Amino acid sequence: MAGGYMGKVLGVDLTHKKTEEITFSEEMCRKFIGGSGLGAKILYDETNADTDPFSPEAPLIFMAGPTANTLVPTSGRHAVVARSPLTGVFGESDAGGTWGVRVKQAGLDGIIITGKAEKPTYLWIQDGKVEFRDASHLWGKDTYEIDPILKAETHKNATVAAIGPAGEKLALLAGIVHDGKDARIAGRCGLGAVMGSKNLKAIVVQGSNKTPVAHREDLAASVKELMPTILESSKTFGKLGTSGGVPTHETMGNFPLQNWRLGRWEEGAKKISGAAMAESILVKRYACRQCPIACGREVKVEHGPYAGVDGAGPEYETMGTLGGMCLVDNLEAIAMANELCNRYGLDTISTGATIAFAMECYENGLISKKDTDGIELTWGNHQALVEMVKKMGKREGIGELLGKGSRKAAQEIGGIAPEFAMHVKGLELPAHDPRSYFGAALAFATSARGACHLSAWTMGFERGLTMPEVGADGRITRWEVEGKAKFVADCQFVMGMYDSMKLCKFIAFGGIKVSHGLKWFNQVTGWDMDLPEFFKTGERLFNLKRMINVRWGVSRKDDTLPARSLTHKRVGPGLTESELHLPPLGRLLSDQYEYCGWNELGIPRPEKLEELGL
Amino acid sequence: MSVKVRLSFPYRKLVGKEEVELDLNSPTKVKDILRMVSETHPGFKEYAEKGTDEKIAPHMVILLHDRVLRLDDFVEAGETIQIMAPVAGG
Repeated sequence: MAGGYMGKVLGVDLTHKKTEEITFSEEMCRKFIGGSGLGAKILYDETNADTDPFSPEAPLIFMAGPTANTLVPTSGRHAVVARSPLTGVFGESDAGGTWGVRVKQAGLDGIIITGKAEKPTYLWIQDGKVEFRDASHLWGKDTYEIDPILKAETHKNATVAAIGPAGEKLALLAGIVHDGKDARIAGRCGLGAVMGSKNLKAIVVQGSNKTPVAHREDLAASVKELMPTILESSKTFGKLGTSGGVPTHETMGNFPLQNWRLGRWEEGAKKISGAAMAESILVKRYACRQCPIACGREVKVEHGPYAGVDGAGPEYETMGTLGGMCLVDNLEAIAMANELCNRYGLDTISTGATIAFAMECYENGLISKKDTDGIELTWGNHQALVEMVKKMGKREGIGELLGKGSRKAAQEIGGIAPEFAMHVKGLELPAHDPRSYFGAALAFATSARGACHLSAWTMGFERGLTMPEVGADGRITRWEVEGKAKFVADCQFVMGMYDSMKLCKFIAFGGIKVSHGLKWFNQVTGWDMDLPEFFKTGERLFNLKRMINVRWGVSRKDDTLPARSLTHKRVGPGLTESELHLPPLGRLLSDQYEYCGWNELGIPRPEKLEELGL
Repeated sequence: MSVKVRLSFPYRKLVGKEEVELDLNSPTKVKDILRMVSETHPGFKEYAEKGTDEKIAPHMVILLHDRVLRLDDFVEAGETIQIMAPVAGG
C-alpha cells in the first residue's frame, strides 16, 4: 500500500454490534483518493435509488485523507458522507479540529457506520479496538457537556465526534460536532440527524499509530522551505479570522442582508467583523491540527445578557447567516446564537438562513406571534434570534418546523412562503451572493450537495487571489461570462481533490498553489501523479457525485438558484449601477455541461464516464 | 482635487487613521498611490511592499466602489478607493 494510507477502514454494524476491517486496493485509492472522494465511492456502492437516509442500512461514512497525521500543513480535516435527509441527494460535510488526525492514529483511514443501535450508544475506538458503550447518560446533553465526560470515560487525549439534542431529535439541520467547545462542526446537509437515526451519540477515537510517509525527508524539507511564505501570506487572515472579510464582502455586495434583499449595511457589517471581534470578545486564536494559520476564534462574553459564551467564536458564514441575513448587528448575541448551535449541534448556515426565512414569513403575515409563542420575529431582533435557535435545537414549538430547513418549512407554511426559502436542492445558501460573483452562481447550481461555497471556492479567485493551475491570474472578473464555466468546472475538480486529500482550502491564503499541494501528496504517497492526472481524478470525483445524484433524480431542473437570486436586484441606498447584476444561469449551465461532457439535461454522457473509468 | 484612500482594519491601525487624502490632479496608477501612502506611513509600507511590481500583496484587496483594482489600473482625481483585507469565510 502507498504511503498515506493506514490500509483499512472500520465497518461498524450498530444493529448487530459487529465490526469488520475493510481494505481497498492501491488502485482504488489512487482513483478516489480518500476523504469525500473515497466516501462518495463507498456511498455509491452501498446505496440504491430507494435508500432512505434514516434507514438502518443507509451508511454514514467518516473519512480522513491520506495526508492527515503527517507534516503536510492544514491536512488534519476529515469528511462525513451520506445521503442527506435535508436535501435527499448526495450529502457531504467537512470538519477541521483533531478528529481526522486521531482516526489515523487509531490505525484507520475511516469508519463506515450502518445499522441502528437498540439504545443510545457511543463508540470508543482505540488503536483499532472497538467498544460499543451505553450512552443513555449522555442522551439529551449538549456537545459541550459530554466532551469532558467522554474523555474521563475513555482517554484524556481522545477526540469526540458527537451529536447534540438537535441530531437526537432528527432535526434536518443537525450537524456533527468535534472537539467539544472548540466546536469544529461538520454542519452541512443534516448528517447529525443521520447519526441520531442510528442512536449513535458519539464516536471517540484515540491511538498511537503514525501515518506512513514515502518520502519523509523530502516532505519535511519542502514544508520547511514553504513555511515562511505560508506564515507571511496568511498573517492578516490568521489575525482576523474568516469574519475579517465581513466588511470587504459587504462592500462588494457579496454579504447577504435581510434574506438577500438589501443592498448595503456598512455600519452593521463593521459591528460584526473580525476586527470588531478582535477588539472585544476574542480571547485567543484556534488552530486545527497541523495548521500554522490559526483562523479559528475562541471567544468569551463575561457581562450583559449574553454572558456565559465561552468557546468557539462565530466564523464568516455564521456572521452572514445569523447576522446579516437576519439584520442582527449585536456581536454578543451572534456569539451566543453560534454557541447554542454548537451545543445543540446545528449547522449555523442553514439555521441562520432558516430564521431569516421565518422573519420574512412573519413580515408577510404567513406566520404570527401565535406560531412563535409570542416572539416578535422581526428583522434585527437579536433576542428573537437567540430564542429561535433554542427552539430549533430542542425542536420545540415553531422550532420543530424550522428544524426541517427552509424548503420543507416553506412547503408546510404554504402560500408564497417558497419565495422566501433561499436554497439550492434543499441546502440553504451560504453567505456569498451569486449575483455578486457569477462563478459562485454556477458553482451553487451544480455543486453536488446543493448551495455550496466550498465545492468550487471560486470567489477568492474572482477577487484577485491567484492560482495559475486553474487560470486564476488575478484578472478574472466577477461578472464575466465568457470562459466562466470552464473556470468553475476546473475549480470544482481541484477543490474536489482538496476535499479528498483533506487539504484545507484556506492554505491558498498562505500562498500555496495546487502544485505545492500535489508535490506534498506525492511525497506522502510515493506516487508520481502529475497535474493532468490530478485534474482527471478531480473530474472523476465530480462526475461520481453527479452520478449518485442522477440516481436520486437530479438533472438540469435542479441545477438552479432561488428565483430571488436570478430575478431580483438588491435594493437600498448606496448601490452603484454596476452592482445590480443578475446571473445568466441558462447560458452558464449549457457552457458547463458542454465542457464537462454532459448532455443538455445535465447527465454525464456514457463516453465521458468511460473516459473517467466510472 | 484629491484621491481619498479609505483603510479598513488592519491597515487603518498601521496608518493610524481611517482615511488618507492624496493631492492628485491627474489619473494615477494604483501602485503609485500605494507608494505614496507607504512613504508617509512606514507601518503600512512594511505590509504594502510584500507585493511585487506586478502583484498586489496577497493580504490586500483594493476596491473602487465594487470593482477590484490592479496595480496598473488608474484612479481619477476625486475618486475614493478602499484598501481592505481580502479574506473569505467558510
